[in-house]
Amino acid sequence: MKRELPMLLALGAALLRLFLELSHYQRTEMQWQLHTNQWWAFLAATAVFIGVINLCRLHMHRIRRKVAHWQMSAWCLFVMASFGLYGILLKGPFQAGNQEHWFRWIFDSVLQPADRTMFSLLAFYIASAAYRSFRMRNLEATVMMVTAAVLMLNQASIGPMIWSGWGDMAGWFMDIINAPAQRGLAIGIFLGSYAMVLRMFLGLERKHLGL
Amino acid sequence: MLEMVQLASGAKWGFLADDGQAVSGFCMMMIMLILTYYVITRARAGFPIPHIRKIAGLEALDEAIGRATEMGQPVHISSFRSTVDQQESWAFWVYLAHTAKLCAQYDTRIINCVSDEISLAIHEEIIQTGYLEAGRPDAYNPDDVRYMSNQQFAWVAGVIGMLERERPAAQLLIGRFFAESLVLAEQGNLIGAIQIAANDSAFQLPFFVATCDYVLIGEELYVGAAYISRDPVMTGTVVAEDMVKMALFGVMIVGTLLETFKAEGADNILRTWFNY
Repeated sequence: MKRELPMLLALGAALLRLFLELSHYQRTEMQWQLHTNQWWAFLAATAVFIGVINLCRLHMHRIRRKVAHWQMSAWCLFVMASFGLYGILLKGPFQAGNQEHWFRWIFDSVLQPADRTMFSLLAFYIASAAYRSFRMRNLEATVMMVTAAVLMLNQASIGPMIWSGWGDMAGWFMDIINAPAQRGLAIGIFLGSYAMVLRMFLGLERKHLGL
Repeated sequence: MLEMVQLASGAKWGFLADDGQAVSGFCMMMIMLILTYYVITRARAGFPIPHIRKIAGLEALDEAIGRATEMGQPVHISSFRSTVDQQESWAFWVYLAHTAKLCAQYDTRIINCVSDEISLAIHEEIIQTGYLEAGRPDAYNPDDVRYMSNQQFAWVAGVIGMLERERPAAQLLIGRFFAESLVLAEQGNLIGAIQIAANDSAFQLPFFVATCDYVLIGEELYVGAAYISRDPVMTGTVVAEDMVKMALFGVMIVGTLLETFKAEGADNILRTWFNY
């Protein structure tokens, strides 16, 4: 039963969703669909609660065993608990959209700048990856380098000053070479994911159940 | 429930939505279901079915783990967005189970960095089962399944820090990635890890192609699950998928010819049907 029940639940949910997507009933206001949406929201909130329990269990275990860098686990639990409690105590547990100054400050002036700093690192990573990829070691790398040069010249402001035809050439690469390849890829991805989902519905794929 | 039986106007075939492509989509789905059932039945009955061609990236999985074993260094496998509602996550879990079992057999550490607190328990369960199947449940280390953050770049910062400190000899980046793909793969390249990526996003694939040793492109991510299992029944779903794909390419050629040679003002019957 441990195996069959989750698979039956998954099959039932999948068939329900399939029915809603395909049938004309999707256009009618269905009371039971509203109920299922509310259930979904409730389950998602419960799942986050379970997630927090998971995290606490994992980090408490690390702290108890005093494993390497256990202080980071303690810090993680402290930040999670203090930020959560601060938010709840400021406005109560059932109010959304906390706009309190210091609560927002932690997010806007600490988290977001740190996030953007990490994002800006991408520029340097792109430069080093592009340098390696565009070295003309063989025919394929040469073709890639030439194509990339045309597309870059089309985007850069200096491009049209050198030659006005970059736009047409870049358009040809994008519309005639790139677009069909992308569409072929998209068809394959759709069919591949469909086959994957089918395997799960039919109970052939069970790794997510730890089986 | 009573409101459900109200018929909306314009229903196609009495029950399908009145959207364009509803009927053609339904027919395609039924064709694929019937084909899959047929191929699976054949496979179960012991009849031969076509095999999946060799996929270099999947063949290299064992090689990558073997290399890590020889060097005495861990294997890192992660998917950034591994939430339960993504089909990429379900594909990723198959690779995770396979890699965990191989690592357990070879006595090599496996490190998994998680970005979703809900998936954490699933990942732990999958890796633990891998160790159990390999007959080494005691070797499982829960500290190697690590929740970093659900914030994209906080997660990346945690992972690249781990890569720098623990220097895994193999890195498997499988599943859904966004802008963090290049940061991870380039960092893996800097520490000299053998890297295998599998991704179905046309925007991230160029980054992986530029930085990784092997890349599973698009549908290969999903096929890998059947390929790894070597199970003819699982392979049957891939065979059905390929048959539909070949039929679709045939339809495209016929459609192109019809569109090219049709009389001026005439309808393209294929276009009309696919839009119905």
